[in-house]
Amino acid sequence: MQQENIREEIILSSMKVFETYGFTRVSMQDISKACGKGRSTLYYYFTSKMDVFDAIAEYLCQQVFTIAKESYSREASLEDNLVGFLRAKLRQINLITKRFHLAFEDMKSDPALMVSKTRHMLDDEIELIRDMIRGAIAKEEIQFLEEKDILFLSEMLVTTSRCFEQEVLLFDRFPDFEARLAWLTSICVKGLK
Amino acid sequence: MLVLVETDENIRPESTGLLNSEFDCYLLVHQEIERLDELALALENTNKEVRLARNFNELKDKGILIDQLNQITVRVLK
Repeated sequence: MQQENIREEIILSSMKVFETYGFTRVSMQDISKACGKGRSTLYYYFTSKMDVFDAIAEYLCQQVFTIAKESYSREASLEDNLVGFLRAKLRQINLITKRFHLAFEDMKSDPALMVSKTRHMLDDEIELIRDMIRGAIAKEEIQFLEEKDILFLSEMLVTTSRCFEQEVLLFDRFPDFEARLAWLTSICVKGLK
Repeated sequence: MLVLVETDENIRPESTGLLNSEFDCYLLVHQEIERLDELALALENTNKEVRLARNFNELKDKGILIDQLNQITVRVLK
């Protein structure tokens, strides 16, 4: 079996452990038992429990991005693409939050940890939003923007949406988040016309 | 004990004779680390300390310097 396969096998098996016990109460011994591998094998691939958890976060972020990206269509308007992508992303994260609610509870006491675990796929997301904006400019749906402004706008949209996601998912704010998200996006796109 | 595994066949832990040996710590080395998994688990189940590596460079990267160990026994599994 290839090295990457074993790594992935450990990630997938340990998900169940974090899902059941949260983050704080899990030990490397629990992870080792769950994946049926020796501690030495586990430590060969991961330096610590945090390292395993980080790999899970990266795996899940990648999954969320891939699914949310499916909503993107070059034929659709910028507003539809932005709302579609951000809504799909929020729904996916919502499912993950429910699945790993104990781990999220543990992370609430350390928001910095939470932020560090959700920074994966940041560049890919910015690149996708850039592509959406470039497409809208090409279709003359919004006014022309210089490349540096497109980049800045993409970065702002991604980082602000991530803050919004954290408030919704970690602190249960904005129960009507989907409608709020659509409203906010609409205002933003109108400002670009 | 430094165990250099040089076989590409599946290693049956019980046939290696390592499970009954008196050493506390085992450094298992094989180019295909995946092949060491079963043996490592079996040794751990007998309360032995185990470390894995693909080669000597990896052992060094993990801070295990063979030439600085006080005692070492080498065993080659073929």
